[in-house]
Amino acid sequence: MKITIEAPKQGEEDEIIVRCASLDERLLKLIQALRAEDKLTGYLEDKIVKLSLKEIYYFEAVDNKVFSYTAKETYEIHKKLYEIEQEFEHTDFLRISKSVIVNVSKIAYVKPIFNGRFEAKLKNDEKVIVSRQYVTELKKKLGI
Amino acid sequence: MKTLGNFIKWFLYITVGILIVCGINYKLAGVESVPVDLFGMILLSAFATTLITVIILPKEEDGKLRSGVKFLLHYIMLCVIMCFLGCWFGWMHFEAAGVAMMAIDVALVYLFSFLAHYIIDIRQADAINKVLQEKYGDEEV
Repeated sequence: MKITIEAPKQGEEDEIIVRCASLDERLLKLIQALRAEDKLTGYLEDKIVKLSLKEIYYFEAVDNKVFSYTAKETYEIHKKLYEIEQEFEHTDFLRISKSVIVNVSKIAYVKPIFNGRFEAKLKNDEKVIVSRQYVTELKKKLGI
Repeated sequence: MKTLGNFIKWFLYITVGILIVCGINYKLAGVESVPVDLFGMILLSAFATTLITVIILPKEEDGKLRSGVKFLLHYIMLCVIMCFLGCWFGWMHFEAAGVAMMAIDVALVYLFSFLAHYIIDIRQADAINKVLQEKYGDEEV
């Protein structure tokens, strides 16, 4: 596939044009990744906050609600966990258990624990559990 | 597919564990030559105990109490099966000393299998941590 990068004319907006005979899966994923916003709306009591993905450590589903955890605060997110998983598939976010999606870049280290699971210690000292079945996914994400 | 992979993994650990324990026992008993069909016996024992292991070992969703009960049940089941097979293979006589020895042997295989599992997990964790450090080590909190 030929890739051409051109500078826009002065005053013109940056634009990506995909010229192809048909959209294959690779292109669709690329478009999806380009469309993905790096902001998310979080709700904390009566406050509505635009959260940058970079500040989110992990998402957790608790009692049919989804929360995002930043270094200091916990915000409710009005999305389902699987929607977040799909939307941010091409970012540093990865599902590590039935109820948690973690920002891989926020993991300080992992260590094995009982029953084939791993414990991920985050850079804010919180701990999340990586289920046995998702360890392979984590390795894939990291290119191992 | 996942269950089959799990079965094969445990089967390998347990087979090696039983081989080691058999080797130790034969050495301690001063036996010079081992029965020709010993390997077949070991494989059959490993197969039976792996089956029990895959069925009974605690699942991720099990709580601490349930896991503890399952581990205890698992160990007892392994002892019962190995006593039965041990008598059949002529490895032991069904008497207090024989059963006690078998319980110790089962514990040794148990220890070996879990240690092997843990060492592999540690290696995986090391590989993950190395990449995490390389890719994200410099990122501020």
